[in-house]
Amino acid sequence: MQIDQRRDLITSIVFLIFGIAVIIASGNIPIKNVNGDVGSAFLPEMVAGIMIFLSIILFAKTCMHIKKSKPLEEKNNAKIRATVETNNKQKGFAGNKAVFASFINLCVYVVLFKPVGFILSSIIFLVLQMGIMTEDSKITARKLAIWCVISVVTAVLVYLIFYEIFSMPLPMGLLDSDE
Amino acid sequence: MDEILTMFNGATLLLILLGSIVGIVFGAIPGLNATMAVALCLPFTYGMDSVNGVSLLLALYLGGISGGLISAVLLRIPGTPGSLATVWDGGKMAENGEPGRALGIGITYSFIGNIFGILCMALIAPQLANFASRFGPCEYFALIFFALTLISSLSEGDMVKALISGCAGLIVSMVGVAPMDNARRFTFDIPDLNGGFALISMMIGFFAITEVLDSVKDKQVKGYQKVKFAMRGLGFTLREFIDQLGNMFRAAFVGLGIGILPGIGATAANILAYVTCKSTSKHPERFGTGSIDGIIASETSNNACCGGTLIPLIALGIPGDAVTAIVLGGLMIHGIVPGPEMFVTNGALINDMIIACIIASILIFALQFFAIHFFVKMLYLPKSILLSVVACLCIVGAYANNNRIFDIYAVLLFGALGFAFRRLKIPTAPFMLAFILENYCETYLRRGLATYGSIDQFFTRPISAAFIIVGVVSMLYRIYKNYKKNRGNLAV
Repeated sequence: MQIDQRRDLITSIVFLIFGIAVIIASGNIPIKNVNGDVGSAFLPEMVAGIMIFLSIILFAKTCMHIKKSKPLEEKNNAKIRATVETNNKQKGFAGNKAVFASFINLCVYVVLFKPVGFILSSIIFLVLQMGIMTEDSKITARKLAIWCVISVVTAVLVYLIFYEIFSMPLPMGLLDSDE
Repeated sequence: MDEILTMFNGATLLLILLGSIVGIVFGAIPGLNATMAVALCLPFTYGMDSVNGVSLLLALYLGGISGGLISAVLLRIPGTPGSLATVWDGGKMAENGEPGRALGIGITYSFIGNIFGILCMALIAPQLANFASRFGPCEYFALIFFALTLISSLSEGDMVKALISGCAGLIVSMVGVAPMDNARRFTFDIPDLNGGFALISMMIGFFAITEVLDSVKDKQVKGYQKVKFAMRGLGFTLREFIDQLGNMFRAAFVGLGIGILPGIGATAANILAYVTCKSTSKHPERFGTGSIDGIIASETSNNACCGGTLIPLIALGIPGDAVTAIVLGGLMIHGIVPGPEMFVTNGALINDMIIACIIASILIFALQFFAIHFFVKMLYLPKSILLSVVACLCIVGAYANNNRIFDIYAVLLFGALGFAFRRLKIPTAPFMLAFILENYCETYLRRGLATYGSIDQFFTRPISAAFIIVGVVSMLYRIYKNYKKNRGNLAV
C-alpha cells in the first residue's frame, strides 16, 4: 500500500467515526419549537450525514485504487522501495522528535500562562523553543545567553505594551505582588 | 477643492499618518487586528473635532486591513483574518524566493482595492446601499450557500477530501450556543464552549502553530533556505497588470459586494473573492502555487471591502462589522447620526471622510512600500528566534482578543488539527471557509424559515433563487469534471 493510500484510508475512517459521533451527540441538542424553524439539531445531523457519505466514498475509492495498483506494485523493485522508506524514516525521525518537543513546549506554555504568569512562562517557552529550533547542533554558553536576553526583552516589552498602551494587563501569576 | 484644502491642515494629516502607522502595526501582528486598533484609539477621539476624530479612526481601519499582508507573506501567518487567503499565494511566492515581489504586489493591489472601495463609496453609496437593503435573510442565506458550494473548487487534488474538510469546518463552527433558539450544541457542559471557538484561535492555530511545527520538521529534514530579495519596480510588469485586470475587478467587486452587505465582513470577502477568482480564472491551477493571481484576488478584495462596509454605515446608518460599529460610535459621540439624512445635514463631513480615506490609502501605500526592504530583512533573522517570538506573540494575541485562557487552548487544538490535516494531505482552506461562513449560513437560513414559515421563499425570490441555482449547478459541474478526471486517471 502506498503512503497516499494509507493517508486516505486513515482520513476516511477517522471522519466516518467523527461523523457518527456527531450524529449521536446531536441527539442531546434540545429542541425548541419556533414557527417554521428547523431546530438546532437539523444542520449538524445533515452535515454529519454528508460527511459519513463522503467518508464512505473516499474509503471505497481508496480500496479500488489499492486493488488496481497492486499488480503494478508487485512488479516494482521491493529493494528500492525499502531503501527509500528507511531513508525517509531516518530523516523524518529527528523531525518528528522536534515537532513533538515543540508541541509539548507549546502545551506547557499554555498551561503555565495563567498560574505562572505571562512574563515567566514566555521566557521559559522562548528559550526552550529557540533551543529546539536552532540550526546548530552545539549550544554554546554565548548562544544561550543571547536567547535568554531576547526572551526576557520580548516578554517584558510585550507585557509593558499591553499594560501601558492597551491598558490590558496580562496574567502576572507568580510575579503578582497582591497574592 | 476647498474641502481638500481645509483637510490639509497639519493636525489632521498627522493624525491620519499616525493612524495609518498604528493600523499597519496592528494589522501586521497576528492576533492584533483593525477592530482592536480602532477600539483602543476611540477614547482619544473624544476630545478632537469630528473631522480629526473620524479621520484617525478611518486611517486605523484601512491600515489595519492593509497591514495583514506583511506577515501573511513573510511568515505565512495572516496578520489579520482579512488577509487569510494572501498566505496561499503570497506566502508561497516568498517561499519560492521572491518575498519582495509578493509584498510589492500585495501592497499595490491593497491600495487599488482601497481606492476602488472609496470611489464607489463616494460616487454611488446611496444606490449601493439601496441594493443592499433589498437583501433579506433568504438572499443572505443564498449568497452564503453559494459561497459554500465554492468549497469544491478549493481542493488541491482530491475533491472528496476537500468536501470532508469543509464538513468538518461546519461542524466545529457549530460548537456553542446555536442561533435563533440559543440551544447549546456539543458543549458537553463545559461553560467555555458556550461561546464556541474564536475565529482568531482557529486562524492562529491553523497558520502560526502549524507553521512553527512544520518548519521544525523541515529544518531537520531539509535545512533552512536563504532568502534573497527579489523585486523590481512595484513587483509586476505592465503586461502582468493588463493581464490581471479581469482578475482584479472580479476581486474588487466581490470585496465591495460583501462589504456593502452588513454583517459579513472582510474575512469572508477575502476568502470568497479568492475562491471566486480561482473558479472563474482561465488558469485555476496557478492559484496556490505562489502566483500573482492569488495575491491580487486576496489583497484587492479585502481592501475593497473596507470601502464597501462604510457604504451602509453612511447611507443607512447600519454598521457592517465590528470596526464600523465602533466608527459609528465615534460619529455619534460628535453628534453625527449617519443615515440618508446625513447627505443633507452633514454632506461636508462625508466629503471629509472620503478625502481622509484617500489620503490614508496613499500614506499606507507609501509607508509600506518604502518599508519593504526593512520587512524582508526580518527574514534574515534566524528562523529559530523569529518563529519562537512570533509564536509567543500569537498566543498573547489570541488571549488578548477576548481575555480568555480557553482561546489559547483552542489555538493548540487547531494547531494540532492543522498539522494532522497537512500530514494527511487534507486541504485546510475548505475547513477555514466553512468555519467562517457556518454561523451566517445557519442564522440566515433559520431566520428566513422563521420569518416566512416555509422554504418556498428561498426559491421564489429572484436574487435568492439565482444564487442557489448558480451554486448548485456550478458545484455539480465541478463534481462531474472531477469524476471524469478521476475515471481517466484510473483507466491510465
